[in-house]
Amino acid sequence: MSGDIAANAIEVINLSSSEMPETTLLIFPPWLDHLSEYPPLGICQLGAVLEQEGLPVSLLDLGLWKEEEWKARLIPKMNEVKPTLVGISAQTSMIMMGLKIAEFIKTTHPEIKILLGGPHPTARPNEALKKSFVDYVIRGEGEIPLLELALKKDITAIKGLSYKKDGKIIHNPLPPLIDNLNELPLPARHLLDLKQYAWFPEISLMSSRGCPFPCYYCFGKVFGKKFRGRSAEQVVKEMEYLNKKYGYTKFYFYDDVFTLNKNRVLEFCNLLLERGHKFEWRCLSRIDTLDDGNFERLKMMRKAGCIKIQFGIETGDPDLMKKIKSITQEQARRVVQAAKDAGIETKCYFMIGHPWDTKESVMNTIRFAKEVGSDLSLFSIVTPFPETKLWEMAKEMGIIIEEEDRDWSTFYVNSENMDDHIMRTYTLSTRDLIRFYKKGWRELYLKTMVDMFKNPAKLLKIIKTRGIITVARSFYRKIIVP
Amino acid sequence: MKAKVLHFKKKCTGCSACFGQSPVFWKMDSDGEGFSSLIGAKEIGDHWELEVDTKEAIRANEEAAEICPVNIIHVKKYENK
Repeated sequence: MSGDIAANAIEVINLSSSEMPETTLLIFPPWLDHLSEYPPLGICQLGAVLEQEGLPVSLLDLGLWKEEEWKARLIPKMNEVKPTLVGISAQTSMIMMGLKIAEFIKTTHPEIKILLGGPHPTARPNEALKKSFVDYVIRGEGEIPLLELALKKDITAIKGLSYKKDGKIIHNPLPPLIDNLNELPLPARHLLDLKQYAWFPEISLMSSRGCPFPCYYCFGKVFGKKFRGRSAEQVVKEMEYLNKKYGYTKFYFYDDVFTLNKNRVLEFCNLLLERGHKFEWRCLSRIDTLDDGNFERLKMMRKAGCIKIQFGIETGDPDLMKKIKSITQEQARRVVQAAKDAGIETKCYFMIGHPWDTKESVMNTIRFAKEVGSDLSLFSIVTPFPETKLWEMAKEMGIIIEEEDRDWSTFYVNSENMDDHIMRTYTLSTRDLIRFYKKGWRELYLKTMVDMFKNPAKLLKIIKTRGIITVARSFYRKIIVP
Repeated sequence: MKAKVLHFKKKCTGCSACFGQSPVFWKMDSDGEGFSSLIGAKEIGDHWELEVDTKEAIRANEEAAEICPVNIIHVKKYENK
């Protein structure tokens, strides 16, 4: 591998030319009822780093199919690739499937080394390593540790690696964050069959890693707090490549806070305009990072093709807004309106069930979600994820009890398994939260319905994009039987 | 190369971005409103000021300045004399 990343992968044991190449298979597990819309960026980026170093690597996105199909999709891939190392990426909501896949592979091929990485194993490495079928866990950013493992570096010297020795779990120190993301190769999406994602008109990419904000419910320890941005040149080059090679014109930036660094956003917009691109893109943002008085950036972003910004506002209660996000209602209205004036659609996310939430604060959130002026608002129920400040609070509140073999499937909530939700607040029960959640959705959808009938062009656009059956079904589910 | 880091603290909203980005130089006040503080800085007129003289220190504070949502951190570089 060229560049400084390779320089960090020191003390590599060279394979002799007579040895067979050893293939690494990187797997993204199925994610309950959610089908993959984009190639998973994590395994694509890891695959690119191995590929650049000339190491054989293959990728499998099991999120492309229904959960029950995982074995039928995995077996042919295993037979084709014959991996010696299998890496499985997992968030909390998919860890149960990740472990099931790991156990199956180890049972059928005991000689294969099994590695877990991603947010959940980073938070709970011991939990994975206590399973007899898991050999390694990578904590934090995975590129360098995975490369070193694939290159057979001495495992005691691989930063970020956790492993077992004489029945004990050993955690090596965390790896340093990759300071210059421009040194990373472009994600190896070509190792997946991109035709399988063609049903979705957009592709995802990341222009930065890290988020410095201290949101109490966020884990954020894979990419860390330090914001690191790729250069505008490199990001535009990736968009151009995806456009030229696969025909994509729509892009979704997965960065935690795309708009964090003011100058970087302006440089990126200027470059897109300079090159005359007509791409459309959307991103995630925070209200305060765009509240710059004249909203120059919002105007530039629109000119450069930004069509939608998604804001995590999380609560509409004035006191909680200050406590959780250091923002005010007025500020949120101002930025959402400025985006609208610039011609950018907005989507605002709200959570119900913060530990301090009361009946009054939840009602404030529901009211504010309707009046903030966004094109769409969405509700979810607060979920305590391991090793967050919220997790500690939930333990103190008696919501979470530390246990050996937790069923993490209740940490992903949708309309089907809502009754399994575990969250409550100091004053509201789980049942109260579910009732408010349904009430919030019902009120939002009723408002949206009224707005749409006032603006039939918008209704037609949504029906055209999502299909009349999907639109009718979601209205039915949210308003009639929420 | 040296630099003066200026912090116009009165306009701080307490978002913690500077602390998250460059914790060696920034902290969050544990009392009062929980605003950010530039560690070791002196109050001069309407702002707080700290002189730094290494490339790493200048870059760390520039990074904090680049991401401050309310633009109250400024880094002014000057040559050593």
